[in-house]
Amino acid sequence: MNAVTRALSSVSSTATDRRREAEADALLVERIQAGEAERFDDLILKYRERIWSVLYHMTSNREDAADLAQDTFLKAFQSINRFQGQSSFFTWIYRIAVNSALNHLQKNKIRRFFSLEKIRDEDTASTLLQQLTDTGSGSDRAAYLNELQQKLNEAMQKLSTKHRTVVTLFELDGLSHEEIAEITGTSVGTVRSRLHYAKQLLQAELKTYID
Amino acid sequence: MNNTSESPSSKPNLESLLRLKRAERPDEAFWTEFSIGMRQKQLAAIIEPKPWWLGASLVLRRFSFPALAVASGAAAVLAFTVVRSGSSLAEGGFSTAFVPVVETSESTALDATDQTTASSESGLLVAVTTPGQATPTSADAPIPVLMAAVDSVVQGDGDSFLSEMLVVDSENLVASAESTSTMDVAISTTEAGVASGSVPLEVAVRDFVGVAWVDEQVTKQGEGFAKISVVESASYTFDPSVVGGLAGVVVTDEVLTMPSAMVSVAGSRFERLLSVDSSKSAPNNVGTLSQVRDRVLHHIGREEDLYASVSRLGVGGDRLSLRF
Repeated sequence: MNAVTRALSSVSSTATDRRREAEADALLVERIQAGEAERFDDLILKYRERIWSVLYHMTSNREDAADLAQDTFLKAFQSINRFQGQSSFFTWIYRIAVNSALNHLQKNKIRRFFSLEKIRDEDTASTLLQQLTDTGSGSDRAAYLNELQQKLNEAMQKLSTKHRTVVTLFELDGLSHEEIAEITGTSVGTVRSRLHYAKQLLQAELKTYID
Repeated sequence: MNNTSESPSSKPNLESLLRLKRAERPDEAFWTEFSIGMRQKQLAAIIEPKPWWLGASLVLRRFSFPALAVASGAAAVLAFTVVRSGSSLAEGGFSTAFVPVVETSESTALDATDQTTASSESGLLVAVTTPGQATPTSADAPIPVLMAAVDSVVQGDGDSFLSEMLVVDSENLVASAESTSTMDVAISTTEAGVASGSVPLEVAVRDFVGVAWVDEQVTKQGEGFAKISVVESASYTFDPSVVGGLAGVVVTDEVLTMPSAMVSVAGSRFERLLSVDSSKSAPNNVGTLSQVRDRVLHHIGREEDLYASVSRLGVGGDRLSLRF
């Protein structure tokens, strides 16, 4: 019961945070539209990591992700005057980023250069390493972790772009089904269905490495 | 790297792996580079001018007519290509300075004393004369028709160019500008002159050649050609005695300069073709003239087929071009 309460309060606080965030963004956008172009730097600083992260998980290449993230901000800046506030800025710029990634993947179907980022989240890494304590020495564990990372990237790239988008936005970026539906222009049911199917595919692809 | 056979007994689940992936973050140096790259792209976007049709397309897209926006953009590109082709043709084909250098007098004729061939690259005036032949006057030959027309172009009277071509010789020409083509009028007039013996065949051929060329140019260029009042003062020099003698005009300048409007690239091959035919057609009878005419018309047909066979639409990169 406590867990359910905690989960509900977590969802509620997330929704409240998103609402506050959207209001703050709307104010910034108004100022930019009024002529304070330098305010756009605030938006870049605020969203660059999240946008890059989405693009990185979709492309599995840090340089491509950086280029696409820059292009995303550039497009947003160039068309900021056409942003009418019907959706939140956050949803709007995510949509630009996802569309950029899909276009990029469509154009570069053959080219696949994967690059791995270092794991910065020490807690996650240490938790995972604890699960792997019986693998041997420290260097072996690090190597195994690296291998897992690589296999997950490969499995992600084997997903279709639609399924990869949903997994990235839900599992890796923590967006809700509704937000993903708005960004991808689909229904919530479609998002759930794609998510379920994508996770099944990942399980099957990584069955050698995971429980 | 460890083999999977050496993997641990307690394997991670998918959620753990996804959390691991979520933790992948670039370092600070990466973000510094990112900011620099972002700034460069912003500056480049400011400097790089956007094509005007993109702006028009975006405006139309705002009104929620995507199909209309695309169609309008394509039409704008097409129109732009047409306008540019037209302007480049005008710039390349016909040029700027106008120098009136030919004066004509229809009532006076000069004797041609030498057998001379005066030709230019354009082939407009391909004249073959024989000694002792008197050049006809405007009263009994159609030659001044052509020369007066050429003269009116040279003198900048472009608007009345076609009408003057058809009106000069009132006895032989009974055609109106609207109902009969200049070539037909000239041919029929020339044939009548040759038949009556008043026009030497060589002159008639030359006249036919010239009129045919002018007619083709007028047909190709439409009103634009007729309205050309500015012609280039460069390039083509003729012997005044030859030109004047053949055409039945008085040439007052020592050097005659033909307008380069008469030597456009499009016309050059056609004129060479005509000049060859006319120079080969020396026999002095009306039947030969008809043969020449048939041959020329046959060649014209082949040329037109060739033009029609060349594709005018080109697609390359992100551009659609239309050639004229």
